[in-house]
Amino acid sequence: MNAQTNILELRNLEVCYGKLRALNGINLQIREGEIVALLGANGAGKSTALRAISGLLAPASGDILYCGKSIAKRRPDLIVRDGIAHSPEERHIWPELSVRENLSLGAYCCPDRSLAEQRFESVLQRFPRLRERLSQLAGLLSGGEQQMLAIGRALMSGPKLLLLDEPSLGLSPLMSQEVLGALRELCQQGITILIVEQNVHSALSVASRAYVFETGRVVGEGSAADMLGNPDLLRAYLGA
Amino acid sequence: MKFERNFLLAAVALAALVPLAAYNEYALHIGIMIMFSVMLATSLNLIVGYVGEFPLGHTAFFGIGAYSAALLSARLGLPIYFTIPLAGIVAAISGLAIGAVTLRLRGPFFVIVTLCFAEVLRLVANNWIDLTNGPMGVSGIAKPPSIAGASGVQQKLWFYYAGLVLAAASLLVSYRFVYSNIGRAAVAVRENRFVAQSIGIWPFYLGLITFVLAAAVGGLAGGFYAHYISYVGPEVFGFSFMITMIIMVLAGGKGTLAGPVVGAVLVVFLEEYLRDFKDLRFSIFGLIVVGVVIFLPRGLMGFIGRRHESYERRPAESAKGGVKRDRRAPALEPAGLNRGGAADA
Repeated sequence: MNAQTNILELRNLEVCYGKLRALNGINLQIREGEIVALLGANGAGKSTALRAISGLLAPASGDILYCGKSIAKRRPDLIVRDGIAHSPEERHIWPELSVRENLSLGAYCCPDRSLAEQRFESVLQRFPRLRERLSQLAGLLSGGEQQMLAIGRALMSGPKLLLLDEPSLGLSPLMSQEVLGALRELCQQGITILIVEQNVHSALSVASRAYVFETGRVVGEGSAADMLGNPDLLRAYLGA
Repeated sequence: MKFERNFLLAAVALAALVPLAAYNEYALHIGIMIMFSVMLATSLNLIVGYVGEFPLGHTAFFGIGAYSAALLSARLGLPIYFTIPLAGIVAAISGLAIGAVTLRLRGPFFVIVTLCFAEVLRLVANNWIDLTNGPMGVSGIAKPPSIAGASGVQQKLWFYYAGLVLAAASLLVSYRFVYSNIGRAAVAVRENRFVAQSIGIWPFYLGLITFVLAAAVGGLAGGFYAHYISYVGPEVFGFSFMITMIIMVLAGGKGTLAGPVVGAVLVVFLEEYLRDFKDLRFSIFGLIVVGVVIFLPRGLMGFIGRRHESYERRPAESAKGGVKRDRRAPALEPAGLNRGGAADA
């Protein structure tokens, strides 16, 4: 029963960079349709966890279950086809391609033209700023617009689970509110979101639950409301 | 995209008319060398410019093509119309095999391992005397029967147009490839491998397709060379062809299709004009390459393309992007992501 509602589950996941162990057996469960935040200081292993889920890093041991099936040894491109989209850190868009090209490349693994066209329209509806800039080079967009483009590109693959690495990094408070608002709407449409954030308050304002990472371990978990109401936890692990 | 297409069409049209103006053996020989160089440079550029790796042993495919055509013609007596396409096919198959091994590596490792392949093939060509006739090479490769009794200049004219057809075909295939979904995905991988993977691209597969295409074009060039020179020896695997290819691609502009064409024309003419300097020739060549890398790091066409676009961009911006345009700048690797870095080394 529980396995059905969990869209993603990490079991005792260990990931190493060479001899350096970045994740020491972490466990987490994400249910369908929720927004979960991974919190923690730099180097705690949050981004590593995302990379392991999307297949960019191979786990040393442990398992990653997506919809009940193991994807731990799957190729990254097949994982995208399965419905997990990863919007990497520092919004790496292709600066020398136009906004339109960036978005249409997002639908690279979608063979159905009309479906891709449909997603394209819905991304533009979600982020109307992008529509105004379709033929501009993506490198000329502002930081916030680039972040929208990165999220939009991830949405073009039609994901069920969206992994976002620091979406508010380097954005003005206003812009990051706009991005977070978009995440809430996406969640209402039924997309499950796993978000890595440094900014605890903005993360907890959208997430329903959160996990706290420290040096490669999960040291705390709870609902967003509990976390916000627990100053000890905030102070101890996040220095907030 | 449009600029590039028009440029290439104009170049092919111009090349088709050249013999009307310069109908003599020497001029046609230069023309043939240009056609041959265009193929070589296009082939190398597909990997350097679109995969972003640097195959220092790219002569392997040129050599394989040359030897295939030579042996098929000299041993089996196949006519040129079969040997040149077969040379391309054999090279493509070996590209598949070599690419499947080398493309798992990146950066300097890729450079060294591809170089090793070319070197191994050179040693094979040198020592497998039963097949390749060793250092003596394969000579007496047949010219097409239709020009058997023709005068020198007529023979050259035939090869000129044959080269033009092959070069145009190579460019057409490359153009279709680069502006296809696969080509755009290849650019995505070159610019940022991780992001490319995050949208579901499998970089190895893309690299392999590009590698096979580049090998096929290189093989065609080799087959054409074998029939034109009518002799093939182990030096086709040597480093001097590699250096010429590198200069053509770098000077013309990697990651553009027009670049290698310009580079090929430039290098062939320079080689001719610098003949007077004899031994100094390669030193002067070297200086030119250093100058290009410093002052035009994106090559001649990269530079021109840039200018062209900055003029084009302004009106579009004032129109608020309402105009549908398909603009693509030639490769600009963002700082720190320069995977083609080996090319500049």
